[in-house]
Amino acid sequence: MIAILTTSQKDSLVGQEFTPNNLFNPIQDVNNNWVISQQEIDGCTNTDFAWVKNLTLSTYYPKLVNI
Amino acid sequence: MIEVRIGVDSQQQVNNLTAYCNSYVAAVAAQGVILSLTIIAAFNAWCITNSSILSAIVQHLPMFGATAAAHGVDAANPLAAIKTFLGGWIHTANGGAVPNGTNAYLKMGVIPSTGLSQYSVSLGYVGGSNSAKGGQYLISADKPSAPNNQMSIFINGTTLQIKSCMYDGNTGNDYATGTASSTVGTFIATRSSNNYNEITQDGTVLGTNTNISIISPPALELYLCASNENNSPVSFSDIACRGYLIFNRALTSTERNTLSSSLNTLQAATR
Repeated sequence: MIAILTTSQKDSLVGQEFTPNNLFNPIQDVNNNWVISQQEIDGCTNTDFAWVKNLTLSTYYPKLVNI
Repeated sequence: MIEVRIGVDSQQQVNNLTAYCNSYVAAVAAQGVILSLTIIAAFNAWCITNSSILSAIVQHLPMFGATAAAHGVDAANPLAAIKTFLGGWIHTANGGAVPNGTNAYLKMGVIPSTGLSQYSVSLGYVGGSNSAKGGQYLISADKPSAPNNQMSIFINGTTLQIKSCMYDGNTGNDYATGTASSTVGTFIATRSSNNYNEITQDGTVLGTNTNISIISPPALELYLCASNENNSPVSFSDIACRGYLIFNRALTSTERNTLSSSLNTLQAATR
């Protein structure tokens, strides 16, 4: 599961720790929405970003990658 | 200070503690995690068993402890900066670091073109969970545009196809390819000459390749649990990582077998 972010929300999370030594890593889904994972939300202990706990979870649809 | 003091006392209760183990345990303690006597004794035994290859280790994250900071300690360079995890990881005491397969990875800080030998190198990854996820990379740096060059361990959790690519690839002919028994176990990829690449699981040879293109190592940083494709992470893994090692020389068959069995013994004793 993931939560969709606005661009400004994404910008505020990039490079920031949600817990010590673990950074948020927003990525884009198949529709180019910026998203973070449920693990980042559940694991967030950084009070500066407590607002992520209020984000709505939804199913993640990844971009297709050729391997 | 109190926690570090306890950590030192714990170390003193294990006889004949190796310098490698001692430094690692102290570095983890400095991150606020006191490893148990069981873990310290088991890791020390692992160090003794593998004493002949310790000096060849470029990077080694045993991933003991239950925090990102503890999991980020490099046993081969305990004074180095703690590795920082990105995205959705769960850091467990008994299962290593578990990536979510969506956006979790780690920048390993090793660039093969400048940090590793061309024809003599080994990678080790301890997989700790079964996975049904399709194509995923355990360790990888991949420059897909000309001149193509790649260093990776790839596994498909659905088909259990496994491929190792040691400084070449993208043509489909340069991989050592085989079928894993599961995504759990110790995987070791080795490039031991200009024309030999091998992938093993728990000491069993899964695939070899003796027809390898001569291509230089990638000038891209290795990523853990994803592939670094031109500085973007792709093909994320959801297989628990119970440690990994990078060697700056090819391990011999005997060394690979000893390493695999001792890593599995270590897992059984500590997880």
